[in-house]
Amino acid sequence: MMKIMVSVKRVVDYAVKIRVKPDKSGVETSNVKMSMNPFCEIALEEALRIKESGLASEVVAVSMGPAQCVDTLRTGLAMGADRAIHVESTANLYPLTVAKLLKAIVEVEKPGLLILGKQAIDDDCNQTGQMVAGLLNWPQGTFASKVVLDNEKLTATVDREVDGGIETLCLNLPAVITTDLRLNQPRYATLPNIMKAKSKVIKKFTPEDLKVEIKSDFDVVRVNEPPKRKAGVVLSSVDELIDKLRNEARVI
Amino acid sequence: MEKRKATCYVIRRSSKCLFDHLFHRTFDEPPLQWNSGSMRNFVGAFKQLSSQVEQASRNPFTSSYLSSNVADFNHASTTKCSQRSFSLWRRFYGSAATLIQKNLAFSDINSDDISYFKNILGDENVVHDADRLQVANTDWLHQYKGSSKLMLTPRSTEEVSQILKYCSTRCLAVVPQGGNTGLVGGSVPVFNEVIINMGLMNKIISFDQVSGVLVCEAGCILENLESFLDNEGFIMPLDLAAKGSCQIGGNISTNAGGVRLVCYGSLHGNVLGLEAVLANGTVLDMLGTLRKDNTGYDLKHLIIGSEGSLGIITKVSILTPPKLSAINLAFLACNDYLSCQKLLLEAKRKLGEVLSAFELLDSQSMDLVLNHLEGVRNPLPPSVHNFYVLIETTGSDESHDKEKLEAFLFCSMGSGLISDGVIAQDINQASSFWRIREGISEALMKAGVIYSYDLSLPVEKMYDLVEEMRMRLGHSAKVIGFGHMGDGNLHLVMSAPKYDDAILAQIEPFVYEWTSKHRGSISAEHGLGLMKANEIHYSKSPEVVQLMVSIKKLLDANGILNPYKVLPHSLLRLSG
Repeated sequence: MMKIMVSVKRVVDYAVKIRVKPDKSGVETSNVKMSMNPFCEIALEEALRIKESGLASEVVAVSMGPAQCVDTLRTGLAMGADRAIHVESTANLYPLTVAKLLKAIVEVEKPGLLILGKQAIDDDCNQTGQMVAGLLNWPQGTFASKVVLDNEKLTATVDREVDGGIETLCLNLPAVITTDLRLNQPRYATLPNIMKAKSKVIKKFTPEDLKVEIKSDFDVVRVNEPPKRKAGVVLSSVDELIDKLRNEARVI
Repeated sequence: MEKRKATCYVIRRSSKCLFDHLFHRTFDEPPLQWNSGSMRNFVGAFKQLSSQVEQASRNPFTSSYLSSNVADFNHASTTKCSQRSFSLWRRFYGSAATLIQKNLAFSDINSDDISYFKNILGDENVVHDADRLQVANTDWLHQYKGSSKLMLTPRSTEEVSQILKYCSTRCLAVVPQGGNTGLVGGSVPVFNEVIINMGLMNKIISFDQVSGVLVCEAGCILENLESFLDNEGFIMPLDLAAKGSCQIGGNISTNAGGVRLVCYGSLHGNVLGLEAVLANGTVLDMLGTLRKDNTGYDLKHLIIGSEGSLGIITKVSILTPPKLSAINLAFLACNDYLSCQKLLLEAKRKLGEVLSAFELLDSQSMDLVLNHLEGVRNPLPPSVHNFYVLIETTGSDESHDKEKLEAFLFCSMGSGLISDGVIAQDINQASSFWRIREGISEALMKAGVIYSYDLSLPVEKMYDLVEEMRMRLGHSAKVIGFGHMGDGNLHLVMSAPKYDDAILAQIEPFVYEWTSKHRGSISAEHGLGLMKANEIHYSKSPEVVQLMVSIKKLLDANGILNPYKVLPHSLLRLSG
């Protein structure tokens, strides 16, 4: 039976109020709570559900980044993943590099399905899934809001959320699926599973092991905060409203 | 001015001793039934009541007073306006039980008063708009409703002082009001007291980043203070479900507790200074920002927790703890209450200084929340659990705290104290766990009518009361128990489809007597307000209460600040 690989990313926690670094080179990430990207959680949840329905034999979680990625992988293992792989690198990893690394790991592990979150909440790139599908020459179903696997025909039927509504595609496996918000509600990490996760294996690779060169195709020049919203003003009469609409907002 | 003293009659179906004291006989008539809170039912009940009283009372003055009032009241109730002739007030829910007589020494508002206030405050801060008054007259639980015709919204301490000075000379009763989220009817008028709403005094005056001392006005909303401090790297030492609406002045006036008390202690320890205005307009400037100041009697402690009856707080200076970055939250299930107790002990021992919250919910509270709130799901896999415990740790080192928590939890699971549990993996999951605990009040409001009690009990006995109440009430009401188990504080709430005297009779005074017997407090953190003003004897001795009355009379000779609340009506009226 096939195995499913899920790629997860360690990002600044969704609920944290982020701040731009004083030198405007990026967002403040030191001393800030980091967690698994919410879309990656959904991807992992979907993989676990497929495994629980008997259509897959194991779920492997993969993450790339500095040593602390291990925390995110432990969360994944606590949710129910069987094994984890950590590609250790302290460099800035942009989607194309991540896609190349994923391709290398897929060639080692040979999963039948690669599931990722549609985008990461720190860069909002929405590129990695599509790029890795291109590099592997695999079919892709992105923005999945429903996934149904058929093991005899080795296909996956994916409902995609697109601007015009829902598009249903049938993909031959192996394939790449990226998950959207409405696909499922991720489970919590229960104590027994957290305990089991401590003994599960996390294998380490480096980019050199995978023969991928990390080079950046672009530089981040500057990061700015959006302009602050001005406070609303309570007006006391219709005349004042008309005056403001005419003279300040200039819409009448 | 001579006070017209009619015989005060507080008839409590359930409080026989007080009743005997006043009337020297017991009434054997069956309890008055009411089915809804409508005025018309009250008229019928009142007629029955007044006939009973007339029979009993030998005092011709009383009977004539009553009969004249009944006639007036009948008329008044049909016209839906009843201040002048209606000197009796009844609690919105259930009871024929509580009737309070208005203090006739208080004057009523006239147009001169209104122009005076408009002069000091400006037109827009003198409110007679019916809709706004309707909201201000009703408490959060919709159980208490006053009939005030005037609300004032001062913007500075000077304005508060002028208002109170005037009210003192005119003998106008006032109710200080903050966020109006109190649960014992202490923040709304009983009759037509003037409401002084502190909401406009919401400026943050200063914050010292080294010492963490925050100085702000009393009308600042707790959540806003929390956001401000968040930016500075600090947190408020208290946190409650009402934080989106409650104001710090009100929190301090009621010595609010909340979920962080087990870690940061009570407001008595965290408030470094206060500025308050007394009933006669005197401004007491005790707004120190010093951690240590042993110069004389520390009067701010009298004001903290006095529920607006000794003075109106206008500014506060509060010590805020630094915000620690590592917060871990676990949602656990236990099979029985004994395990919860042992878990608490173990948590205090093994987690020590990082334990920042320990909350208990029983399975009925969980069901209530899951049934009535949107977007809430049980974090634990479906299974029958009897008790749920929420444990939070706060520290400076995430991995260290996480290891500590995990080690503690694995050990407790191994020894059978916990039957299952989850640890929040990110802030969203943590918020959803807290939503369950904090959403219980909201869910209760949606489920029907609430009879809410807030008790301090020895930890071993806490849940026994819940089980006894379940036996007493049977199918007539749902009984849930939840609360700050870390502080020995149980919130006991009965939920029924509609108000019913019979249910109330089963609850009071049994709950108070039970609590008193186990030397607990009948009001752990909610205060006495109006709901428990006459029950203080269950938790405090007569000598102590007498001294409280003397202090009240010293600081507020005319009794205009938040009358009818906190202290027993009989003691405040009979002496002087």
